[in-house]
Amino acid sequence: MQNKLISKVYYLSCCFIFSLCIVSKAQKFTISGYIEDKATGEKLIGASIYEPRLKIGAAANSYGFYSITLPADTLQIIIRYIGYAPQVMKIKLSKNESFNFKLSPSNELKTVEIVETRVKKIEERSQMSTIEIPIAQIKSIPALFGEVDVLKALQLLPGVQSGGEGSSGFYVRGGGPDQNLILLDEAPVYNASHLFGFFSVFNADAINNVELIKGGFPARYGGRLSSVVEINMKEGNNKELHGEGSVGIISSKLTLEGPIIKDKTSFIVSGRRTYIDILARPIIKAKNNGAPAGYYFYDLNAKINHKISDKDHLYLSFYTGDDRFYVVAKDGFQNYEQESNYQLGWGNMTGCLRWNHLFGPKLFANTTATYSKFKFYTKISEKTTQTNNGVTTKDEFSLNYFSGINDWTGKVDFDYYPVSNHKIKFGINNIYHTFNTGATQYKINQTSLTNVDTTLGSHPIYAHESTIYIEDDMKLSEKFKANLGVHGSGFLVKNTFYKSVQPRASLRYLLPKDVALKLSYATMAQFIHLLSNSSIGLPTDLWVPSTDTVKPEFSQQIAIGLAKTIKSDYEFSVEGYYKKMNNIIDYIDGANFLESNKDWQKKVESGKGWSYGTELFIQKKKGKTTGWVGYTLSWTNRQFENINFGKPFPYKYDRRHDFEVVISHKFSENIDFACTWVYGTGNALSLPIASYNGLGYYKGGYQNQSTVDYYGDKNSFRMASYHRLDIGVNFKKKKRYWERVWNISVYNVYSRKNPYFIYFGYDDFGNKVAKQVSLFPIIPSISYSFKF
Amino acid sequence: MKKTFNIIIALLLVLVIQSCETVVDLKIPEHKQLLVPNCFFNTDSFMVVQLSTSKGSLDNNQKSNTVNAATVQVFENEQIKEILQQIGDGIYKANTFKPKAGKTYHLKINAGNYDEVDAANTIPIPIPINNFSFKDSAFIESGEGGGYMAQLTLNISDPANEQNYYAIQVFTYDTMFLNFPPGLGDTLIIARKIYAYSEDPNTTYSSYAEVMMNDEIINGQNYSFKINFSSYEIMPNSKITAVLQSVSKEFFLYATTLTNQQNNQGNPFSEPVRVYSNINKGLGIFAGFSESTVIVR
Repeated sequence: MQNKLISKVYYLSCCFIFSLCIVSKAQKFTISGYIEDKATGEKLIGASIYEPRLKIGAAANSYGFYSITLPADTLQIIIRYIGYAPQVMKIKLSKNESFNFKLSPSNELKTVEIVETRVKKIEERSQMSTIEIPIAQIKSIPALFGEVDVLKALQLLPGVQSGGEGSSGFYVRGGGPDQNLILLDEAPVYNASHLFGFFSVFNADAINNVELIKGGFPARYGGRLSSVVEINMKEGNNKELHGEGSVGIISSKLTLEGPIIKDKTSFIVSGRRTYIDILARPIIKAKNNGAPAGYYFYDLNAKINHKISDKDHLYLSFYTGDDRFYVVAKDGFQNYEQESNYQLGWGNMTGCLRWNHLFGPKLFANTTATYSKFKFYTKISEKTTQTNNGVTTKDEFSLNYFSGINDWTGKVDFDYYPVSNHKIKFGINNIYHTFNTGATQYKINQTSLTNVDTTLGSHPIYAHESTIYIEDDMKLSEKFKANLGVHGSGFLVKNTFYKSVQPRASLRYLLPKDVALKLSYATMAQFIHLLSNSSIGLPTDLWVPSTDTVKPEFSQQIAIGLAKTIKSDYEFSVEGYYKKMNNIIDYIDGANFLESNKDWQKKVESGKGWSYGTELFIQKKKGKTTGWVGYTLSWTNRQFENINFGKPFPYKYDRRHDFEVVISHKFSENIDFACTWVYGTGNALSLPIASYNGLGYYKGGYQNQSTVDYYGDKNSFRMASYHRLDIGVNFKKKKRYWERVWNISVYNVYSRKNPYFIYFGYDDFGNKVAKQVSLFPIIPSISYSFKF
Repeated sequence: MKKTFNIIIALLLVLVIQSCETVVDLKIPEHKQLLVPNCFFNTDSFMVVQLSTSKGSLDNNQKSNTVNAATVQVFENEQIKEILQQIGDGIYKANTFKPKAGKTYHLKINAGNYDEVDAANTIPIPIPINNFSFKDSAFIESGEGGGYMAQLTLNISDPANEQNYYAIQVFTYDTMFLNFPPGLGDTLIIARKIYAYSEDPNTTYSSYAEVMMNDEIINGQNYSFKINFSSYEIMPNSKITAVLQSVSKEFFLYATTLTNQQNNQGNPFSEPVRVYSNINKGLGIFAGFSESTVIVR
């Protein structure tokens, strides 16, 4: 009897404990919502939310949405974002909750530290090879002609090289300039430079944040081998109307943002234009026979953000920009007049419509439709009017050469947060490409002869690029985190189909003393190629698809690194990587884009490349003094069967050492100062080592037609090293309704003559010497900005 | 089109050159001078070799680089055929034989302290012109705007079992009057090569002959070259001949790469072009070709 009782009690207690376990295991609830700026309503992308006792955390996604699953308990949650005062919330969790957190910017001079509960961000993330620069830091970096530039700021990071003096093309871990996926609000931007690469198309006043990924790519990205640059535009202040603008030497810009319906709908419009052509017009006209000539560029960004309900958000963004070179020439004498019009231009246009929908607290969906276009054109038109014996004839001739690429994209992406240890992202997308690989249109109107209107050259090529992916960011144990995913993509062009399955993995193991050991492996495929004719960012670059003869490019990259936050302010990381690229293409010797009647497929050659190196990076994002120090030691080589006799040669942008220091310091509320110093070993180039007689011959005798240049190994010479110091100072003054800033900056403070290119010429004594041309000496500039 | 591109390059260069130009001390490896024999040979003429040397890029020596008193030997099918005689400054000519198609000729040169150089090449079998036609004035819709051109059509049969390379040259003959007013016996007929090009995208332009082509696309087939030239190039009723040359692969590579390099000269931003050479231990070219000529009118 007693035994029966004991066994009953025993049995019951087991049941009770067991059910308790089940119940307590089931007693988890999800808190979800948005994290935004209290004053403007801007979403704080990547803001962190953390429960320090349970050590469970989450981050807001690119739309400011977070979702965190926690046990039913009394919890203390801390929400933090760089530049903002953290918020602490105590909650007794008993059901699913929806909270929108609104943070206020912190006063830098009085930072409140919560040391024990601080989230050590860099060690927490399993993702490596990723750098995020706060937009405020980008805006403080002194710039060429005072033009703040997002892409130039990226060039100041380790592992990223700039092409040449002034160029805004960038080369990430030995990859080419076409291997970077640049996304502006999820729409791809194909040519991100103005004026031959001296400026980028991104207007920093319209941007919320910038993130660069150099390796360990999460599965949701694909299509380019070397990097992903995600640029998110601001959404627009949804509470009050604000604006900012600046007047500079080269250009001026104006940004306006505000609510259309308060707290529901907001807009932001931002524009920028150069005006040196308008100012110089009278001078140019005087020298050019009364005909104008000049150059200008402009950018226009616009976005509308509408909150349909708590579960639905709609965003519409738009960008357009153009560069235009124009020369009008007039000639004439008695009875004869000719007016010629030359125009060279290029530009991008992107448009993007996105709809966020919350399927409950754990599933966030984003549906996107984007349109992206890049076009390059040359227009020549000539009008001749002649009078002969009283009869006037008019001849008109025009030639329009254009090339470019158009994309229509449809995407669906899901963020799924099933349990606190897993964050799953999956999605599907399709891009419909149209490639215009160079067509020439002729129009002739002659009074004497028949008119002609034909288009010659390549027909447009259409292609579909489809992707499906799934990734899981998981916390396997206290010390071990991993992001594993698979990216599958396919490319269909004419009758050729290419597919690729790309595994992606990023692992993080927390060593003692909070040092994170990170390891990543990623394969990437690139189905479209950029034929780049020259080393200056000339827009003659042509985007072409893979075809049955030109195969897609592939890369594999492994990286290993250590990361740690030191003294709670300095993020330190060191990484080593090895990257191998296959099927990269290059123009064969001497080929150029002008031979439009030649099939581009015959002008290129496939080869391979490999790059390896180490990067060191220390970044400080908070406090009176912020900035970073970066150092890269790397090797990059290429090998093509028919270039350099099949021998490997250094890539043009193989830079052995690359070092940069960026420092911003706030002296007081009204004065801040920034400086950058960069150093890089010189670019590789080919120079003729000798010359000899060339033979031309036709019936009737020999003719020595020319001197032939004899080149040794390709890229066997190095230009002198590049280094430069820039400084800038801001003087702020806060008035009643607005704030003004005078910015004085100096580019290349000690006027270093950095090499731009080298050629052989003669010195003053007639001796043959090597001459180096440099581009920018010391350039001071001043600009005036205002903010209201 | 090329004009606009050149304007842009010119504008950019103006911007650039106005900035700083400095002389740099560049370490160029010491260049050991190489012998440069240049010779195009065919069945109609005695072989002529022009011999010079290469010159380092920073070499300031002003004296001529032609090479005299060299031993220039030619072998036919491995057997010594002749030692060429020097007839001018750096020019050596054969006297005793004219090369034949299909045989392999070796060139071997020794001079002074330079490395001995050698090369080999064959004259391809001449490809006959099957038939031709000539239009004095035909409307051509061309890459240059369209207009009335004279057009010559040459039809050939490309042999299937070998790689063939072609070059086409068109000549007209001008009558020069030695006295004015002209009397009997006072005229001289001079051959002049005219600028004759093709619209076919498979042809390659070279400064040697405007129309050059390999047989990749047309291998084993009949093919008609359509050669256009301006009527202004020829005097009315003057004699016109067309020459179809069957050139060796080395000849073709040399002519096209040399033209490529010439086109890109002056543009510091273009990729360097390597000019082809088949001379061992030296530079230059030793290449053979054969001809078929038709008299157009």
